[in-house]
Parts: sequence; structure tokens; C-alpha cells
Amino acid sequence: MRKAGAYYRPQTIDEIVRLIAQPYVTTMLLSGGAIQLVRASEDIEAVVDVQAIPELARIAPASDGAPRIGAAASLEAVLRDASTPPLLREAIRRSVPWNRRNAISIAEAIEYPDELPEVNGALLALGATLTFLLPEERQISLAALAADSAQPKLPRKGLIARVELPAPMPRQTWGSAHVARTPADIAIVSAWAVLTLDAAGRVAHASLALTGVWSEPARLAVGAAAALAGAALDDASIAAAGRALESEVAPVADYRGSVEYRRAMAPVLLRRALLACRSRLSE
Amino acid sequence: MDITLILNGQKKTFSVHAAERLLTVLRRAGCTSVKFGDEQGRSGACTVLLDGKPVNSSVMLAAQAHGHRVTTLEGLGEPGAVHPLQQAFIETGAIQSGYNTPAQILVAKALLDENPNPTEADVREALAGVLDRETGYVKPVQAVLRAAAVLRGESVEPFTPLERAIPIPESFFEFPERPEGFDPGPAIQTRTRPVVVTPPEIATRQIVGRPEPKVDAVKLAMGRPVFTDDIEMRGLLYAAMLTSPHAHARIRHIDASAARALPGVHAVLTHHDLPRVKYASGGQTYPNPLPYDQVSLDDKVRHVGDRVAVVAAETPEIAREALQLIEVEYEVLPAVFDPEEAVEPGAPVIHDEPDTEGIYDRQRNIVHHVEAHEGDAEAQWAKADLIFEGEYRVHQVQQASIEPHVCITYWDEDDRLVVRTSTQVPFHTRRMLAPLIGLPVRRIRVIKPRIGGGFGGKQEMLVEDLCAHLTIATGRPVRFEYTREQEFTSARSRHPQILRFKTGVTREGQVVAAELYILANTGAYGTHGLTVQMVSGFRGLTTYNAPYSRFVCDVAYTNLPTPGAYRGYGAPQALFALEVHMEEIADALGMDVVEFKRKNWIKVGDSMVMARALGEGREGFEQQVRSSALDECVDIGLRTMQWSQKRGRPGDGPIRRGVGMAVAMHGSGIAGLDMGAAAIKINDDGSFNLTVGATDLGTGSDTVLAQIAAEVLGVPLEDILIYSSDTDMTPFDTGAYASSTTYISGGAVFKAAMEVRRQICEHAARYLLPGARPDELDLLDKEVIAPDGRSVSLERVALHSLHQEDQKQIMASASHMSYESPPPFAAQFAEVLVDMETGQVTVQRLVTAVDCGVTINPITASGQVEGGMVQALGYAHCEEMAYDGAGVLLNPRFDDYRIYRANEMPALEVIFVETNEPSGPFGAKAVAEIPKDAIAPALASAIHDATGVWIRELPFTPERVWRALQGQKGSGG
Repeated sequence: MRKAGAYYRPQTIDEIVRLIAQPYVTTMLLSGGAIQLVRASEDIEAVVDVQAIPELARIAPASDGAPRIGAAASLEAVLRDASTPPLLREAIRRSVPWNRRNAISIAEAIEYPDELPEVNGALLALGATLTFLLPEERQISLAALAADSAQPKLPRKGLIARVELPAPMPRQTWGSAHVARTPADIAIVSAWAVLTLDAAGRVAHASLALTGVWSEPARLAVGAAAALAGAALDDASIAAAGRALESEVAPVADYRGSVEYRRAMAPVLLRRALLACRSRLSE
Repeated sequence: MDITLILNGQKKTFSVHAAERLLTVLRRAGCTSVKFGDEQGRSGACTVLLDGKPVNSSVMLAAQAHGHRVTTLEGLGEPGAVHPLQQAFIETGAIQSGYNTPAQILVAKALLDENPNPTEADVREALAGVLDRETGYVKPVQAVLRAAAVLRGESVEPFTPLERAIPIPESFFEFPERPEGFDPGPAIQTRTRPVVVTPPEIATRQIVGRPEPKVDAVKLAMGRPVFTDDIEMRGLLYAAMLTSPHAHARIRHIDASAARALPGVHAVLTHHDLPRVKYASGGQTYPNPLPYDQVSLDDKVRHVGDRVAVVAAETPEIAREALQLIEVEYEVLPAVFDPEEAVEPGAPVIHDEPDTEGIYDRQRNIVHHVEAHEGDAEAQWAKADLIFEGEYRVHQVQQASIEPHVCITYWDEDDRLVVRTSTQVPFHTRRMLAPLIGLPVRRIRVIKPRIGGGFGGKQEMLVEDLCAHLTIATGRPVRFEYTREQEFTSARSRHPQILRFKTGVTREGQVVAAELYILANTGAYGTHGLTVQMVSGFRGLTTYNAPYSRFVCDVAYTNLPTPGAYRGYGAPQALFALEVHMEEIADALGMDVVEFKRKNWIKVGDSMVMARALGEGREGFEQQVRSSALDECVDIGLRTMQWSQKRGRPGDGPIRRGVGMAVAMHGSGIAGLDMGAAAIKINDDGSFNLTVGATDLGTGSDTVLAQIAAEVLGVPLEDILIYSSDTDMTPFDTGAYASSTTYISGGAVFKAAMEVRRQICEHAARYLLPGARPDELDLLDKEVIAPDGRSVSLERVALHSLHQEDQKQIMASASHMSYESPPPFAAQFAEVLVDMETGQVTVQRLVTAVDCGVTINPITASGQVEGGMVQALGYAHCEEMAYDGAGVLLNPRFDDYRIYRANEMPALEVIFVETNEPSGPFGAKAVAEIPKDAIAPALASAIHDATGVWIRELPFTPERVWRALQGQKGSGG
């Protein structure tokens, strides 16, 4: 972005609208920086820094306790907020050191899931929904945005306002598992599970996400989740989920792990994540 | 645009470009404590506090900081006084090169501001964003915890992190068990008191052996401008280098006209513009080993990242833009990356140019072939009841010093070229540079400021020639710094090798014959290709010193980025293979591995069988082991590890525990080749200037050398003013490599100090202590003391000799070389958890017990060992240069290239077991490299203990371990 000749720090959404409406100017909406500035294309001519807009930086849970995270909130702010689910905290703390957490926004983490797949895995499992303000106001689930793409398709000059997570449910449990070269390294494969059980102890809703087993950095394992639906969270259903997962993953090799290895790890880590869910239920 | 910052408490306005990073603006403003480590901010060296929170200034626009409070290290504490954090970093030895110390102190400041009473896990979590390639994080963590106590108003003990202990207290062997599982956080334990085991025959001294703070610690803790890039120069131009996108190609056409026409560009150099002078870039003693297979810019490229062109421009941005305007037409040639394929007939010939001499077999890409043996093959093999063979493979890793290669060249007022550069070898650089740039040596001055880590990577002349050419072309000062990607692809790395051992043993477990074949990959250029592999052969065949030993080696060119010198220099490769091989033999013989090794390892009085046959690049010299505490190192290490309680008890279930050990011997300099010199003169007040050519690259060698001088001259350390190294101002030294500085340069300092001492005593006896004999006088506490109790101060001697009678400058210089290279020894231990389902290895604990002779400074020495252990851990476990099929490096940035961070470290423990090496200064041997040597085989041993499988290839990634476990299942094992 050597050509960037202008920097703006609007105070209102309206100002953003006006700034990005400039014809013939390639604009970057800067919400954090540590990833965006590194990955920015060379043709950026103007930077619109949205971090000063209060509603974009705010983390304010809804009345039912559902986390609502302003898109420009830093990962450190998300980590520290009381409304942030433990699963997301775990993903952030594991993946990103403190100084980078201060310099990466939640929107930036979503825009570049290949940089922070585990944060995206946790968000997917938690059922994150994005609210866009631009180019038009709309809501879309992260799962829908992430599907079938190595990068979420953020609309050109699109502005995410906030990330919303469902309110915690009774009888909800969660768990994760990963394999990595070192304890704090980016996971080669990781599994993220959020389960809601009914009064009879059966799985009413399963949301399972994995990283490292598709071309997308993080994706929901729909088939595996379906295999759990309505079942007790026992060894048999966990094994069934693992079998279902085996048929739906399509890994891509890189220097961290081959296709064969990633394929083999997926059910192992899903099982561990589900066992963590079960273990948490008994706490 | 203008921005306003509250910079270190003062409101300041800056004119910036919209895209300009905060890092560059701060450095321009004189805050040179803020360092560049990489373009992604992952090193964390660029950390500053923004409104009290740590952020990476290299990935933040300066404009984003407008209106905010920015704190750099320059703003810490009160003017003229160190902050308790800085004081703690100084006292605990937490500073090595000091390059990333400002960042570490700033994150610690942010932590303590919000949590005055942090746990060790909190501190490690905070420091995790600042990569440290030097300390192993042990001492920085200690420093932060100590500073926290001070800031809470608690009294702290004087920092004496040293127990001189005979016998070692039982408490030393108590280690809190760590829970099962993979959470490294709350269970981290840092032993705060490294132990020095000192036999009674080793004398206690005044300065030598004391944990003196580093002589450069204060300026480094304060973040003062001491590094190459920390000076401002009027008219400075910025260089940038165009590198090859192809692994092997001929440059058919190159057109730099558009780049030259770009406003702000002052020079563009291609192979058309420079004379074709052949050289080898390795910083080695004259004459550098053949072949001279490089030229500054060539019409052929031999690896991705090879040099194509350089630009000098008014700004870094213009320089980079100019690179994009250089049009290059490549004829892409077939490439080869695997050394086994490279030496096959029909492989692409990488060095087909006719003007390179000294290639062993050009058509087969074999640059060197080495054969050497000692002993009676027939007789020794005949004694062998059993013969074992094993093949082992080691990979390519990078030094990854946080400060990249960086150089500034300029003409001085006498039209001499000054080269201010981050180098380990200033004198070699001057000599090697001269013919390349067409200047005589006398017109070149090389200045080495403080270095932000080297590890062998700066034992090369990589940037200086191009930077000098640009200054010659423009007449302007030029700064040239590698990008982080260029550090990976255009700098140097560790040689990958395939090693095959064949060992003959008797049924009683006596090794009687050994052969080692190495096929080494030296990448595109020879540089250290010969010498590293000869060291591999020597180390691989000397630890167990079979009466018949044979070494055969082929060094292959390939189209990979070029390996070179990297701390350990061939030993880590050889000792991984050797130690695993020996343990496999012990297993096969049904012998206890420790006892099998003990029966065979080299002992005091033994001659090193291969010492004459395998010098470094030439024939060596007969050598004998004159000091060794390897037995004691192993025994103490075994107790520390609770070996007998843990070995062979992996448990069951998916997570298995294992402990492992391996031993190492290294060298202290290169016998008959390394030379250091020192000069000392007395000042009016009885202090001394000590000038050395030795190069302190963060190791603390300036401190150690000053301690040696202080001990001889009877003064406190602060009375020794050391300066290193500058080719105009200091005596010659071969440089900082081969674990030579304490032993070789220290020997020179010792000699020079002894001569100055002689002169002091002679002058004092003649004029100030009449009747005394010079040889009866002692120097102690800044005084010359006669046996009858009379004394005179050194200040008095200095003033008298300089001003009053028989005036002369008391001064001396001395040189030192040695035909011996006494080996330090070490026993290294690892404890691991292995996930049997995923192959993930979690390293819980590393212990090194080391005999480095007398430890001149236990704090700097333990820092060396701790840092070396972590580099060795990375080598064994997670660091790896990974390529695609076209030779493109896939992970040329931090984190992708995984270096351990503070919050995921195993516990590290260091034990010194002292010996008195008769040939070393005050009994010292080397310590810098040996911690690199045996961590990998210790890990292999521990993984085997946990799982029953041997893994004969590095690194121990989850997939590699998993595949080995799958193979075990498949074989019914």
C-alpha cells in the first residue's frame, strides 16, 4: 500500500459512507492493522480507520447475555470481556500473543481466517453472526460467509458493524482439542464443539467446527453434527460423529501436515473435543 | 500529513506519510530502542506501549497513533536513572545482545502496571509476543518477577543466582512433578539458581568466577543507540535487493533503465555493472577454502532468493518500487534440491561456469569429497563381534537472529570506506571485501557495533560488498538491511545431511571400529560446505574415539538457499546421528545405555584418534583430552532427572512419558588456526583500556574478557574499559565463531594483562617500593602490594610512570593461538510427553550438565547454555525450512517458521561441573556451542523411552512421530 496518500479517522458511520463513496479511490477500511496492513494490496490509495467510532469498538452484551462484539474491538478486549464465551477466549489466548491481540480486531480475524483459523473455528462453533452496515445493512452467519471459500467473501467496501453470538443456553457445554508442533503453535488440526442438551440429556443441537481439514481454514462439520443430533453423548454417538466426519473432510496438505495425517487427526480431535464437552457436563 | 503523539510524556508533532508505520516515525524521532525484527511484527522487537498497552509498531500506521500516548524505552523511568525493570534485567543477566530487551521491558512494564503481583505464568504470557533467540526466556522471566517484587516495595536479596556447591544440596534434585496434559501455563517452573559444582582444587578468585553484570548491560537496558542501524547519517540512501524467483536460471536479459529513471533512485547495479571477482562468502581464515564460486552479481541464479540486482534510493519505499521496475528475462533451467539426486549422473549442473576452481566433481555437483581414516581397519573390524549400521537424516534450519543482516557504508574524510556492519568477523570481512570492491585493505575500515544476535549467520560476508558497491557508485552513505524473507532465503542456514554410521563392537560392548559417511547439502554455494562437514566427521568420530575410525563425505551442490555456519557447526547433525546410533547399539546388546556410553566415551589422557586427519578445512593437529567431567555431568544429570525412577516407565493410555539423555563434546576454537589479539594500557587513574578484535555478539564475551584482565591486574571490573571491535582501532582477531572467544581471545587478554602486570610491578619496585623485587609483588584491590606489607596504588604507579620519572606508557599487546582445542563436555537430558494418537511431543523439561572448565562468569555462561538449549530444542522439535517442488520456501516468516515462545517453554536447568583445563585462561574452556549438540538425541531417546520407536530423522513433528507409531503398529511392535 505504498500509494496510500490519505488517512481518515471518521467519527461516525455517515462519515465512512461519504469517504468510501469517493469515486476512483481504492479504500481500505482499517479496523485493527496487524494483519490488514501486512496483507493490504498495493493499490490502496486511502485508509479509513474505523476504530474511533464508538459503536464499532464497543463490546456490549444484549439483555439476554448474548455477546455483541463491535467489529473494531481488539482481540485483547474480546478476551477480557466478561461476556465472551470461554471457548472463544481459549482460542484467542492460544493463538495470539498479547501485543498482537491489541493490534488485531475481531473483524480482521474474520477477514483473514487463514491467519487465525482457531479463532474462526471457535466463532463458527459458537454460531457467530455478522452484522454488515455496508454496502447495505444485513446479517449473515459466519458459516454462510465462510462456506466454499478460502477467505470469507467480504463485500468490497463492506463494513462489518459487529459480531454477535447466541446467548448461553441451559445445558450447554463446549470443548476443543488440537494438535500442533508446539504448545502455543497454530494448530495443524483443531476441533471446536458446542453442544446443547435437552432435559433428557440428548443432544438437542451440535455445532462442530474444525480447522485444517478443508481448503477453508475453518468450517462447520455439518455431517458430524447431524450424527449427534438426538443422541445421548455417549461413546457410541461420539464414534458415529467421528465416522461421519471422516466422510466429509477434504484436507489440503501443507508443510505442517499431509492430507493423510490431517484426515486421520480429524476424528481423533473431534472425539477429544466431544469428550471435553461430556467431561464439562459432569463438573 | 501531520500527526501529534504524546511521546514519552511530551506532545510532539510529526510529518508522516499516510502509509508510514509507527516504527519508522519513532526511529526517525530518535527512539532507536524500537527495533525492526520482521515486516509482520511477529518478532515483537518493534513493541511499544500505546496508551499503556503493548502493540507492534511495525504493523501499525503512525497515523493510527495520532492523539495517543506512545511509550518507548526512552521514556521509562526518570532521566539518568534506571527503572527497576531495567535494573532487574541488568542484575539477572537477562540481556544478551539486548536487541529485543526494550520490547521485553515494555511488555513487562505494561503487565506490572495492571498486575503488580504476577505469577510466572502471567509473566510468560506477557513476554510471549517478543521472540527471544538468545536467553531461553529464563532470565527475562526472573527479571520481571524480581522487578515486580521491588516495585511492590519488597526487599529483595542481592542477586546471587549461583550456588557453588560440593556436594550439591539434595534440594537441587527435587523437581515438582508436572500434571499430565498439555497446558504449559500454570505448571511452568523456572529454577532460579543454576548450580556450579566446583572441585576443591579449583581456586576461588576475585573476579573470575563471579556473576558480574555484563559490561554493556546498562546501555543495552536503556535502549541506547548501539546497533548498526542506530546512527543517523546525512544523505543516507537506502538499498534494496532484487532476488531470484527461480531456483535455477540464466539471466538472458536485464534492463534497469526504468528503475534508474525513477525519481529518487541513485544507483541500480546488475551483473553488467560490477567486475566479475570470484570469492567465497564464508568468513574464514586466509586463505579461504576453495572453491570461490560466487561473484557479487552474476548472470546466473542458483536458488530462489539469489542476488539479481541492487538499488540505492532516497527512501526504502522508492528503493522497493525501483526493484519492481527492473525487467529480467530468465531462461529457467532444471533444478535439483535433493543431494542424492544432485550427485546422480545427468542431474542439472549447478556450477557450469568455467571460472570456478576447486570443485571436486562439477558434473555430479560434488563440491567436496573428503576421505580420512586412522587406525588398522582390518585388525579392528576383526575384533568386532557385532556390526551395527544406521542411517539418520537432519534438516535445514535458520539462525533467525532477530536483528537481520544490516550494514551502512560511507566514505570518511580521508576517502576511506567505512563499513559499519553487524558481523561476527570484521577482520575477515575487511580482507575479503577489498578485492571485490577494488580497494586496498588500508582504505577500508570495518566497525562492528553491538550485534543483535548472530549464531554463525553473520560469519559470512552477505551484505557488505553490495552496500559498498552502492556507496562507491553514488558517493553517498548507503544502508542495506535484509528483509525477514531474505534472512531466510538469501542468508545462511544449517546444512542438511544424510549420515550413515557403521560401528563394530565386541560382545562386551567395546566400540572397536567406526565409519561415518555423510552426504551433505550445501545448497547453491560452497562457502562453509567443507569445514562444517569436517567438523561433523570429527565430532561424530571422536566422542567414542574408536581405534579405527574412517570418515567419508560428499558435499553436494543443490538449488536450495545456501547453508553455512550455524552455532554448533556440524556437531548437532553428527551428534544426533551418533547418539541415537549408540543407544540403538546399547539396546541391541541389552546393555544399560548410560553404562554402554560410559564404557566407550573418550576420557582424560586419551588421544583424539581423528584430530590430525580431520582439521577444519585442512589437516589438524594431534590432541589429547586433558580435562573432562563428563562422568560427573552424567551422574548429576541422572539424579536431577530422577532417571532411575522414571526411565522405562512410560505409563499407558494415549499420553506416554519418557526421559532420555545424550552426551556431547565440542571444541574450544580451531586448533592451529584461530588467533586473537588484545592490547591493554593503563590510564592516569589506574584504570585500563582493553582493546580486542574479538566480537561480542551478545554472548557476554566483552565481559568475560574484561574479567580475565581485571583478575590479572587486581582491579574491579569497572576499571577495565573494553572496546571491540574495529579494524582501525583494535588488534586482529579471527572473529566470534567456533567457540573460540573465551579460550583464544581470552588467552590473548591473559597474556597482555600479564605483561602489563609485569611492567607495573617493575616500575613500582624500581621507583615506588624500593627494595622490593618485582616478581614478589602482588596486584590486589587496585594496589601493588609488597610481601612486607607496603603498598602503592595503581593510580600512583600510573601517574608516576606517565608523568614523573622514566616516563612511559605501561601497555602491552599479545596474541594467542593454540594447537589444542580442549573439548567441553555435556550431558543433556529431556523429559517428554508423547501423544500416541496424534504424535504430538510436548517437551516438559530439559537439563544440561556441562563441563566448560572454569566458568569465568556463571551468569553469562548459564545464559549461553539456556539460549543454546532452546535453539537446539527448536532444531529437534519444530523448526524447519520447508520448500515446494520449485524450491520456493513456504515458511519465510516467524511463527510459520516456528520458534519457541515464552509461554510454551519446558523447564530449563543448567548445572556447571567445573574442571581446570590446563591450557585455558584460568582453566576455562568454551561454552557457546555445546548446548546445541545433544538436545536432539536426548529428545529421540526420551521419545523412544515413551513409545518404543526410534525416529531417525529431524524434526520430531507430530506427523513424523505419528507415522513412526503407525509403523510400529503395522509391524506388530
